[in-house]
Amino acid sequence: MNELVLATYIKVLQGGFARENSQESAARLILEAITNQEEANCTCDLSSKKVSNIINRKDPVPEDIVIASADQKIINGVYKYFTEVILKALNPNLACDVYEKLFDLIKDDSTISTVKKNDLATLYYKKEYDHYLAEIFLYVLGKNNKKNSKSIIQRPKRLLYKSSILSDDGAIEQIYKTFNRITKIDDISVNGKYVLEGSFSFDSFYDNDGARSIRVKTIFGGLVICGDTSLDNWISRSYVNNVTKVKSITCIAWLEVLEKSEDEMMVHYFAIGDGL
Amino acid sequence: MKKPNKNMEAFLLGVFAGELLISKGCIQPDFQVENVGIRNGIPVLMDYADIIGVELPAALTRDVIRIIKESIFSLVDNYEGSFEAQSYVRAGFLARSGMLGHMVYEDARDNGYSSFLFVEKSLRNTAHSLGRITKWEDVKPLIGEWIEIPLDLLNVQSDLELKQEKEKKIIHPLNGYYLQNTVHIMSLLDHGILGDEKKCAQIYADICISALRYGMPYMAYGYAQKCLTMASTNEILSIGELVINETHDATREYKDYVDKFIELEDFQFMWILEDFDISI
Repeated sequence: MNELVLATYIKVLQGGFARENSQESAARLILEAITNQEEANCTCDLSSKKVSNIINRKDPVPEDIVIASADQKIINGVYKYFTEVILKALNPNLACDVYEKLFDLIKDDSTISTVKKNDLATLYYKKEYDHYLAEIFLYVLGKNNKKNSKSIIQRPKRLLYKSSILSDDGAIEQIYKTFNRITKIDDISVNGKYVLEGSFSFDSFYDNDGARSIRVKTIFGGLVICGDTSLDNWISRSYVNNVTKVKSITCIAWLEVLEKSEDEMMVHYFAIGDGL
Repeated sequence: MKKPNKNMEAFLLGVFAGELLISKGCIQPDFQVENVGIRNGIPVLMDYADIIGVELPAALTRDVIRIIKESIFSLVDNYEGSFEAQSYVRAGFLARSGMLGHMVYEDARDNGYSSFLFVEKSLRNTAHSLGRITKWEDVKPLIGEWIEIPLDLLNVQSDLELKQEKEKKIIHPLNGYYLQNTVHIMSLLDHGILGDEKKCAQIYADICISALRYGMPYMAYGYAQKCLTMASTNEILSIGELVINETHDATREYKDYVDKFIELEDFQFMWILEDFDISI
């Protein structure tokens, strides 16, 4: 349980509720922060099966809840609800454990941006727990709750590029295990580490030190993803010379986001392998 | 066949890359020395597997220029860190490929590869290529015309200069300039190797006049200065002085840089001057 999504959030809070200690009742109590607001216009099905699918990460967060969660009026209602309902529903003897478990999850989740982590940490340290829980709730609603079967990271047939940061095979294994597959643009955040499969293009250029480098680019959901690699860290010069002649090839890349703007994202590539 | 020295090998490979491109429409993406053999003193391809064929000039696109540039990068990789050898590759390639070769080197310059990599890092980011020709419909007929010019640089002919004089009269002025450039490169190679100072001074005078005519003030200034440094005839010296007086378009600041590089080997110097002319 190292990824903070709605399912994990519900499970953590469920462990701290005084009365609503079944998963279904805990989920309902939490989601009512939005669904009970008339202006949210939520008509989604929250049957036992649906709730169970959300908790087991078989279903995404219902779309009308996600849409409503971006409305400032609804957000204000969520803050109020957490102060008046959720905080009071927590067993006072267990509440601190709940806050800390969430805090640990936030720290360990590489998909959460540093800015967001810092914001949540500030609320945690200031002991503004109602606001802290509400902010995390609003945040997880925007994250992909459904576990994609493809999110089990696969190994490439052949590793084509390995960043010099990766010292040994153990470090490579680690990135295979820990990097998350990008499923939608909204999932991407600065400092997040992801794995992405797609069509990549390769272009040479000479860097500031006069060394020939290879710029690796792809487009994901209209966003240009671009990063520079050192020629010497590729499997061979012949390989690079031959891939630069084609427009693009299918690859799988493990990357960290360095900068993100509206239409472009600068990344550091940890590894690039043959497409699957 | 005696193994050619490193610079001559680099030059021959540059000519060979140009020859493959211009006469056969072939691009070798992986131009490592191991993939090229020498038969009777002439390079031959050892590895055909990955050769790309393009129909020139019809199929010429920005992407084709990019692929040729990548091929040239793989070629200069053989001489990593050596400005001198890489300047020989460039001279050979441009001598055979004319305008197309210059377009490839402009694209390379836009990707950080220029003479400034080796001599003056502070100049590297001054400017990008000015892109003298932007319309493909203008470029393609000129490249088509160049392809038709019978040039056999791998079997250097002593009467090359005369033949080109005849050609110049019937081709587009821009191709005329590139052809003259080819003649200058081949002459410098011949006479430079022989150490014939007098002949070199004549070539320098010819380069600076031709550069002035084609709007390349730094090339004109640089080679005019070279004329003045040679123990030469009064005629050559006065050509040098005359040309220097006409290079108003070149700024003093960059002329000072040019003065710093005057002692460099010809193909290095030529590369620097062209980078000034194209990008400043």
